[in-house]
Amino acid sequence: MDEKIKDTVFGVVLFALGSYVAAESVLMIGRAANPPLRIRQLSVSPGLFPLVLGLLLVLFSVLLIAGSLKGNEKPLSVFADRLKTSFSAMRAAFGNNDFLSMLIGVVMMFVYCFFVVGNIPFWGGAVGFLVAMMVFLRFAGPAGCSARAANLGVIVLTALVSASLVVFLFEKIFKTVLP
Amino acid sequence: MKRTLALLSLAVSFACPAWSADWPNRNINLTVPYGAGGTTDLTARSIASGMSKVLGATINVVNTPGAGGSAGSLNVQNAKLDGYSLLANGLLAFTTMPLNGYTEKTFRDWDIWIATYAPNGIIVPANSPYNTITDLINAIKAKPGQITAGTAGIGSGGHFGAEVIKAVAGADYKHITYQGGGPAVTATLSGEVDFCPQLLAEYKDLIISGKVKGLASLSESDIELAPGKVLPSILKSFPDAKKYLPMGEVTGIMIPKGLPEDILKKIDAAFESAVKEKEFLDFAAVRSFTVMPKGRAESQAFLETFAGRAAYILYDAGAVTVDPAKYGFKRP
Amino acid sequence: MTFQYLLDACLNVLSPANFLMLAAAVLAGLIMGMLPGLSATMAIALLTGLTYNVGDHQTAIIALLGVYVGAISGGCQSAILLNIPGTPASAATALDGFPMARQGNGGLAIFIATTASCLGTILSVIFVLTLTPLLTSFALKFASWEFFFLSIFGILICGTLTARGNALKGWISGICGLLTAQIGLDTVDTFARFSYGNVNMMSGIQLIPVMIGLFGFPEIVKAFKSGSEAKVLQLTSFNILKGFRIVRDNIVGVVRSAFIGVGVGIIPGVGEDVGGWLSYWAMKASGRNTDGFGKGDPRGIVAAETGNNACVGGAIIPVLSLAVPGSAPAAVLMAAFFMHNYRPGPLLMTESPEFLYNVAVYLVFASVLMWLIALGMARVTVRVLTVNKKLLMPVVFLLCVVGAYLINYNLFDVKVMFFFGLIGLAMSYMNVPAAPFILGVVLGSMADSNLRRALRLSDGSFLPLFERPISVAFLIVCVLMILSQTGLLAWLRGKVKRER
Repeated sequence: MDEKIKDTVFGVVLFALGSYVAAESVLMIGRAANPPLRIRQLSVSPGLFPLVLGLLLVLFSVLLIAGSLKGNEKPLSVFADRLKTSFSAMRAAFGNNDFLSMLIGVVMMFVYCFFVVGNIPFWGGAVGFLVAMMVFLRFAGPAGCSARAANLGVIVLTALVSASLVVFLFEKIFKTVLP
Repeated sequence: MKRTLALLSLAVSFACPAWSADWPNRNINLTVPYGAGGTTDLTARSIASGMSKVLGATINVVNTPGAGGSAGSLNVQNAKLDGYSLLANGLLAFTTMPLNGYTEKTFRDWDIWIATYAPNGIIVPANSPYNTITDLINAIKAKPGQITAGTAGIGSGGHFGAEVIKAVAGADYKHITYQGGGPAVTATLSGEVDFCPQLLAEYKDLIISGKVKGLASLSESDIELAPGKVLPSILKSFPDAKKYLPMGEVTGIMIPKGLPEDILKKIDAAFESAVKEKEFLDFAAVRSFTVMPKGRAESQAFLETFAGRAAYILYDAGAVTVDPAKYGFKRP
Repeated sequence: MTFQYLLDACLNVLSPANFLMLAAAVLAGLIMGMLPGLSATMAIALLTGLTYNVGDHQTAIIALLGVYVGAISGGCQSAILLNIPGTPASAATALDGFPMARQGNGGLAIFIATTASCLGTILSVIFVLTLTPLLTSFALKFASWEFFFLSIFGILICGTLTARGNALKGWISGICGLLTAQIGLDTVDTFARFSYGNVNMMSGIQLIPVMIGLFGFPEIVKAFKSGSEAKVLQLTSFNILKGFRIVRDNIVGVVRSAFIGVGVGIIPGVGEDVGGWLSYWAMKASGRNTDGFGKGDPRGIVAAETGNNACVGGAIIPVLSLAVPGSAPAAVLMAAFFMHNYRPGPLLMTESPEFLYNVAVYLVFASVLMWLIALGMARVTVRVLTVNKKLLMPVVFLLCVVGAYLINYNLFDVKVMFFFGLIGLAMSYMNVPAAPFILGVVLGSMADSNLRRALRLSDGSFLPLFERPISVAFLIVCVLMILSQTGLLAWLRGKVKRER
């Protein structure tokens, strides 16, 4: 996507975030005014700094959007156009191989972080993850990478050796505990 | 093929985790809910090193500062109860956590081992107009709510010291909180606050070298900091303060109740040995701590009076709105 | 007398047992510094426990100082080679280091970084020995207002430096970082902010998982794209003399960065993370032909690494003179000093005067050893990166997960890392720099609590701020920076000209 379109969309997202933060901060200021804190003065309320930050975000996001729309004849219609383009671009992305590979990779990392770690003993989980990841990258992933260093045997070996090195380094030398 | 097998077996041997049931079989984490270098932190490290010798396992001190000591304490309270997460805390802040709304549990839900007592010391910046404790109290009386006190946070040892001063003066101070004793002391050095009622141990050297002025201590007797340099007890100028003394931080280690008795006995033994170590005693002497080791049952009995006094100081001062009676604290 | 102390200290270090210990400690520190997720603070903390029972106190102190120097210096290697800073202090090094590595000059970049680190520590030691009283009184001039402005200033600088051209994005990143730091129990009133009742959120968001996520994920995920180079970088050998010449040509910058680093290190609570950025900014602001900064200008590396290493000496100064730590690793170091029966503080020079000189000499030796060992390691580490990216990145990811977990043995931190990894991917796609975000997380609670403390002291009034020269200076610089970056300054100047 074009740089300016990205900026516009990003600006919109930030605007939403900033507004949310500002609103939540106002609520916080209200909550802090009640017992047990009974903070009535705005300047010492815990909600002050988040409120300032939220408002700054809103301001900066508007500046960002304005900057990205600068120089155009009819800014509002350009703005609406860009939002539409970005939606269609997002849908198109799923057809893009690169994007799909990245998505699958991220999902694999997600599974590892949320389900494997902590539930499956570290060494086993690590080897499994590494092999799966490397196999995916070699076979199912992007084309055009050199096949020389990535056959299955090398993959398994690398996974085993690196997982073992990590366990050795952290558990025996640094004396820490792995999940 | 052979090479792969060899490598495989090598890898497997490294991967054997410690699965035996004997405690402790790995590093223990001792959480200190304050920054490194403070009184609680140093006491904890000293005890930890003594205990790890007996237990045969390394004890890692983990600093988790914030929120007057409650962030780290709550972490340990919510952690898995497997004997590997201990807490070191000052009992003033610790026992008053329920009153501040951090938790519904009280000190009775924990196994506690008490180690030391450290009195509060009132100091002022070196160029301050106050030269005696009477000067300071008079100033507070003359300008209620204006004289600033720097402490390590709500519920910290300094906060209690300040409340005692407030009770003696009969007028309020302005409470400025910092993230630990260290920053509070730095603020006093730079003159940002009018006085600092933190623990004497944190600035003994600064008083001796004249970088700050020591006005009084909240112990019942005078304290000799160095040959020829004595810090008077506040009782010398204000005998009525006796009902609030001795005020100071009592430090110990603790773990939520529920561990099997054999693990607790191991901790008992390690603790007893740690507080008798020469290095620990020297450490305490240098910082003017009183070593008063108490086992689990003794600690609970001691805390009934101590926590009651602390709770009611806060309640009477209006620092908390929850009635201590709700948690079973008794007025001393 | 001084000479006697220095000589004794040298003899101490050169004894075989101590020397070996120093080398081992520096090596351990370098490795821990390189691994994303293990910071200098953690390294010293781990070693403090391990060395507590070492009988000879001198050996233990030597080891701790060695780890400190190693850890702060080691971060540059992963920053340069992988664009993933090993410790937050090396974030500024990645800015010019990684482009240099991309251009094939990775070896040269590491050489410059390591030499600059060594010089930074040595220069800071000289400052420690000569200027301690003067610098301590400077540090004490910093109170709540100054801390607040320092954090704002740091974010502004970082935003300006990292966002190629449009500082707005950098500042947005910084603001988001500051916001992230607000999550959790606030440090002044213990009021739960943005935590939605979740106990884990109440303890706040840890810095390291955020850093690993923001910097690491984009690099890791790049490996999934087709057409990406199979190797991370190509190597060309470099000329050592060329490296020395670059450092020599910039010797003024080195001294200036060292000075800044010592100054930042001394200020209690701000340390190596900020020191690197401020030095980088000063180098860029005072240099000619600064367009190359951020694209592989070696001067950036020189400034950043000298700056963050000089903080080592700077952070130790208040430890020795006041028993107040100048930075997080220095705080752990101070605890270790106490444990070994030294009394850092105003009585140090009367009780154990030789301690100051011991520390100074040990630091110098540690720096030199670090230089030798790091360069030796670089030959190996750089080779590891010619490994196929598809094999390397999953392992890097594994290390990231381990690093995130080991901070507090908390699985929540791993999830935080993943979440911020996603944010990092989005930011990298939008060309928003990650470094100001990190700095925001580092400085967030400092900015917030100091602002509120200052306002509480003055009962809500901003007036006392104007009575303090350092704060006013900061305020003016911040305003000027905002105006110049948003083009308002030029607009104002234009307006004034037209009025004439």
